[in-house]
Amino acid sequence: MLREFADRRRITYPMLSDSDSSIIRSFGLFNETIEPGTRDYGIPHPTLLFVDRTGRVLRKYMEERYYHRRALATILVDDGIAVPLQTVGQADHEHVAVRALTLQREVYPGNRFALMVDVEPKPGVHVYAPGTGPDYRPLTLRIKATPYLTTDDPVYPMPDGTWTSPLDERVPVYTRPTRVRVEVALGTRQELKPVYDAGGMLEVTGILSFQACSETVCWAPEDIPVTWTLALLPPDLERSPEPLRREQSLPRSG
Amino acid sequence: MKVNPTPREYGPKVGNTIPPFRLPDQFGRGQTLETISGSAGAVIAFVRSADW
Repeated sequence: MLREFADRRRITYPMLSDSDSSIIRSFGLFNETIEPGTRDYGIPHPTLLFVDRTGRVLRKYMEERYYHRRALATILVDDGIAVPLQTVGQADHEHVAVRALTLQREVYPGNRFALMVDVEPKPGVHVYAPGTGPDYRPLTLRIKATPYLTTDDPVYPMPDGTWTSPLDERVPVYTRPTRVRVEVALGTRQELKPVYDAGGMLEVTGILSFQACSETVCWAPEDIPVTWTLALLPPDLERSPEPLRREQSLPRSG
Repeated sequence: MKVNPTPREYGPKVGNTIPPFRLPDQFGRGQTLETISGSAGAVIAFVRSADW
């Protein structure tokens, strides 16, 4: 079964078979929410472990849903490996330039991946960073909710400066190019069906809010739409030949 | 904005050591941490069966 799958997908790394889930149990990863006797009984909680040669866990990722998979480029970037970013949208505004960036233009159902937006204040301009008081509008990215994906809270870099107000408040700001990152997890192929039916282009839209100021002027707060357009590829639905399949008569638990 | 819940954590935590294992790979060869590790260690992915 694994051999056939590995050959079909040209997988050369070791795929280990834990047919009675005993190693999954010994790792504490057995999914106890699956009903015994159903087809999915025995599956682990989806987990990625990075271990050193002694078996010590260096990094760990867990996913909430069994179909969520962290995309390779996002994993590599987390590991500090330089992965080329592709610009999928840009806009030059009066006070800031905004670019929508992705690590991959092609995505699959269940993918979890990072999207980025670069905000570059024009010379002499600053925008407020998170952590300002209520009188300032900090840089904020909100991803529009759709039935096709869920998102994590965006991650903002540390402020690169402070601005001292006429009242002598010290306010955290960004004066240099600033990259905001947000992780997105796509739904199942069933949930994404309308996207496939409409041609397979998935648009992820966010609203970037900020207030730009110079040393002497503050302009009105702005809300700028940012759109990432990605190609949603069809999943591999090919199954192993029937004689190799296990527990065919058991019901699925969903 | 719909925000993902933080997944509940199961299994060995960062800094802990994983239990020993020996399992057959797709070629029927027995594999352990030692045999799958490269110079920096290994990435172990727990996924559901390839027979879905």
